[in-house]
Amino acid sequence: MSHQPPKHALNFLRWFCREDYLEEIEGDLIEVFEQRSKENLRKANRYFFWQVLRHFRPDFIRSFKLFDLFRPELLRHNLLISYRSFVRNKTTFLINLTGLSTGLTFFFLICLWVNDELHVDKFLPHDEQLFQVLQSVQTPNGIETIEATPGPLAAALKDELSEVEYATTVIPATFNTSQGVISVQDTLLKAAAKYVSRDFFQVFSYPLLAGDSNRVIANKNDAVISERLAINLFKSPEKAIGQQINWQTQSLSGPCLVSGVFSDPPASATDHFDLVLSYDWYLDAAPEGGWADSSPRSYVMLKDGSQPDHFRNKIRNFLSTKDENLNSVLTIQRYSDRYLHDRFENGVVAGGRIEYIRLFLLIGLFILAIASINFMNLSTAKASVRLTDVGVKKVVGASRGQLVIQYLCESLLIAFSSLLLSSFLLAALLPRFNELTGKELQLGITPNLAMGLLLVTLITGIIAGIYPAIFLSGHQAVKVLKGKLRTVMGEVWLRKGLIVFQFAVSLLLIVAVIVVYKQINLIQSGKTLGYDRDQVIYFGVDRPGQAFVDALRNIPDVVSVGGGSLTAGKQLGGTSDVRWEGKPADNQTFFSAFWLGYDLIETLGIPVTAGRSFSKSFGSSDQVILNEEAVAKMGLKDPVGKKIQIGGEDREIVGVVKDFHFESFYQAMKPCILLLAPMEYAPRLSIKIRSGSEKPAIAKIKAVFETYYPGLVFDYKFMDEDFQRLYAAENRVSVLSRYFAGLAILISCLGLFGLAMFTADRRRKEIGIRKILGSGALQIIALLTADFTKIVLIAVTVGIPASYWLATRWLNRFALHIELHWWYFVFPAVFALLIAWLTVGLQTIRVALLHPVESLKNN
Amino acid sequence: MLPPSLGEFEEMVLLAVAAQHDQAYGVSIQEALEEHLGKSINISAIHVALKRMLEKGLLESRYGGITNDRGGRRKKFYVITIAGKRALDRQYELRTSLYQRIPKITFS
Repeated sequence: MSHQPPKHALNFLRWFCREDYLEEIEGDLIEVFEQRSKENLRKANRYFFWQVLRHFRPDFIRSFKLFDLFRPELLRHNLLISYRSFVRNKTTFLINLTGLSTGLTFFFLICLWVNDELHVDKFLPHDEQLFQVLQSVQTPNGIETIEATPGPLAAALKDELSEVEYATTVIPATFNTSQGVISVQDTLLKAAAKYVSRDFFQVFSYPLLAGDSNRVIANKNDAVISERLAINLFKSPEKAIGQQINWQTQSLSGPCLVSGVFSDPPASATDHFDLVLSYDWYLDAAPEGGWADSSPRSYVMLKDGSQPDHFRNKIRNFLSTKDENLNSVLTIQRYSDRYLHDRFENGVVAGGRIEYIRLFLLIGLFILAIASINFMNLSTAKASVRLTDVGVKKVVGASRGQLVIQYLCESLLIAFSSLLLSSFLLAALLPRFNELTGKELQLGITPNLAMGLLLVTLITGIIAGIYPAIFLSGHQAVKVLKGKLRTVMGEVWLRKGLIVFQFAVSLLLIVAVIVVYKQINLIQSGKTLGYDRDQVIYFGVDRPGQAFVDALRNIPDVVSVGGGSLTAGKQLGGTSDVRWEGKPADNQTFFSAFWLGYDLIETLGIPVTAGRSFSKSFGSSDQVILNEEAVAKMGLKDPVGKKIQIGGEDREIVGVVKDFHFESFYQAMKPCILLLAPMEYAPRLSIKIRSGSEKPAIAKIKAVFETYYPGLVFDYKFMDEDFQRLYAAENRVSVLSRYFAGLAILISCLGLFGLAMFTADRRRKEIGIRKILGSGALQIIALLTADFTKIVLIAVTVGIPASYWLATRWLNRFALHIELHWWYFVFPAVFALLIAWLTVGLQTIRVALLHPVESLKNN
Repeated sequence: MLPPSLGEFEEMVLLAVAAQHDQAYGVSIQEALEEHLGKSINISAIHVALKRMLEKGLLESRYGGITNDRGGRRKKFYVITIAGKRALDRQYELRTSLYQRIPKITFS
């Protein structure tokens, strides 16, 4: 008996051997070992090893199937146990259910939204090969990447570079010159057109319902119309072919022949247009300004298998080979990536909407995590109650695996009940969510969606349950039953750490709400805009005659009528072909250009700092007005009256206006030239209305419009509404962050509530004794809340620097942004603390006021 | 129904079990066989044979009491069943009848 067989071999045997054979085999092997070890211990050891290995064969290996852990009877038992524990701890169950179901609902909503966003513009068949050519321009504010490219670029790329299969030049439908009226006999329809070069339908392969994609836009007067338009005008796409339509804009008018019909782009498309016309025709009205003049967009389709990165490097300096004065570089970006990655820094993609997608996904995960943490904390806190259960089960022979499964079963049961609840919530909240996000999300039960829902629920259940399961099942039966269990410090720390995390995240979200709200407010208040867009409406109109304008002016509530309009946030065309006296040779400043009519500067209240505004009584149309930034860029002193050349034409500077924000607030002020477009060419009119009388004024304007343009719809917009649309993404974040923050706080507090209730219950006897010994209710409340206060304070110290950092990062993307005030951070901190106190306080007061006899009489 | 087949090694083990009536267990069978055959026998092979014959119904088994030997593990004792005995008898008859057909041959 002096020698023991080698432990490892024995353990190995015990691990793999079938239970019903184990005792016999183990006994026989030990007996042999004992005999042999009397002669030679080392040999006996070796022999034992060898014999164990010899037994490692299919006859003796136990079944390792997990099925053992999921036997139906066990499963039924687990379900019963879970059900009983839910019934016993109704509050805990409800807290978990509420937390998890709201968490899941919001996470699913976010996922639906993200999924929709990721599919925007991905519908084109050659998506992988379709690229937009972008231009990175050197400006004094750094490198800026713009969509506008020189007109001859696309054709040149196709001719000179072998990788390019097709290339097309496009004047987008959002340009002023692209808005016009279609007339067929007596029918008049407003429409947005694109002017494109020949290869357009090869590059953008919108399905053609009629017509041949190789030839549809071959002639100058060809027109390809949308399915909707074809049905509206000619009843069907087939009947539309060969029909004549009349196209009218302020600069281009004439008959065209319908050569094709394309099917309407799906809802996931960002680009909307009603008809496609020939770029050659467009050039008749607006001749190409050569390589220095950028306004059309260029798109290429690369040959199958060519390397985009290689191509990008190749075209980088393409422009300088055409005109050595040009120092801007070209780059390409996949067309479908433009929607999510449209922000460039230093000529490199830096983000865009994708940042919001990441942000929201992260927030969704955080909320789910907060809800899971509740489950973890409440389960481990209740551990002492349930450990007896674990002890007894272990004694009767439950393996650890079985216990883990039992607890996981419980968490999964909660998770799936939450899923059930959250699918109702989802259905109820979806319309509201669509309203908030401006999407048309639907809850079709597709296999993918169902799988996704189940998977997320499963993972959440497992994550929430795995820690309590392992923690609970890990205790030794003997210790548990003897009552020797002492709470492990690490475990308490973990629980506290998790609450810290919950509150830190909640704090972060509250700070986000405040900062985003303030920033959006700043932008939308319009105070820093540089012009007054309140009570200004604008509408498209075709060649407004003097009589029409005068009729409008005569309406009593109309303050002023200006030709043209400023469209918020639109990237403008412009030119670097501006010459002035003393221009340095290396100055490549890009000037944005506006065409506007008489009185627009007055209508919008843009302050004129020098000279005068455009005026009919002075001189001809070769006037120009600069903004202060442009004057500074040119380095002109006393600019009024000087002559400059724009695109080779002489212009006289008649005035200087204060800088105003004409593009996005993400960008700093840019140099800008304002050119005069005579009133009869103005594509739009802007009208300032006296405040308070918008409704009657608009009704009168409408009446005037309809007498001058019978059959046309009076379609007007308020300028400030435009702004709201421009910052829709930020608005969305603002609204959604409010919901998220509320949710996070709510779920965190639920968890805290549960914990506080539990602690108070467990310390009931202690409190009873304290009261007998003379402690007052207040002292007891202080005692119980002190712990939670500490936790929340730690969360605050963690959360504030994190939120400060994030807020600064976000704000720095705006050229114009708010300053962070200390109270943006202190207020949420105090708020979180108050809420925590309130939650904990409600519980503790109940216990503190209890009569000691009540709490002590049980023993 | 065909009687269960019996391999050569299985037959040996079965014989040993029958010989040590009611007192046969793994190690004792191993010792008996090693003694008779004069070569070392692997105990895992014996275990395999025992389990297979248990399944065929040639053997029955029971646990012995706990002793201080063998690290406190119980012995598992094997007893031959009627089916087992019949199988042995059949095997024996088969061999003797075949043996008796051998003509008198002398090898010089």
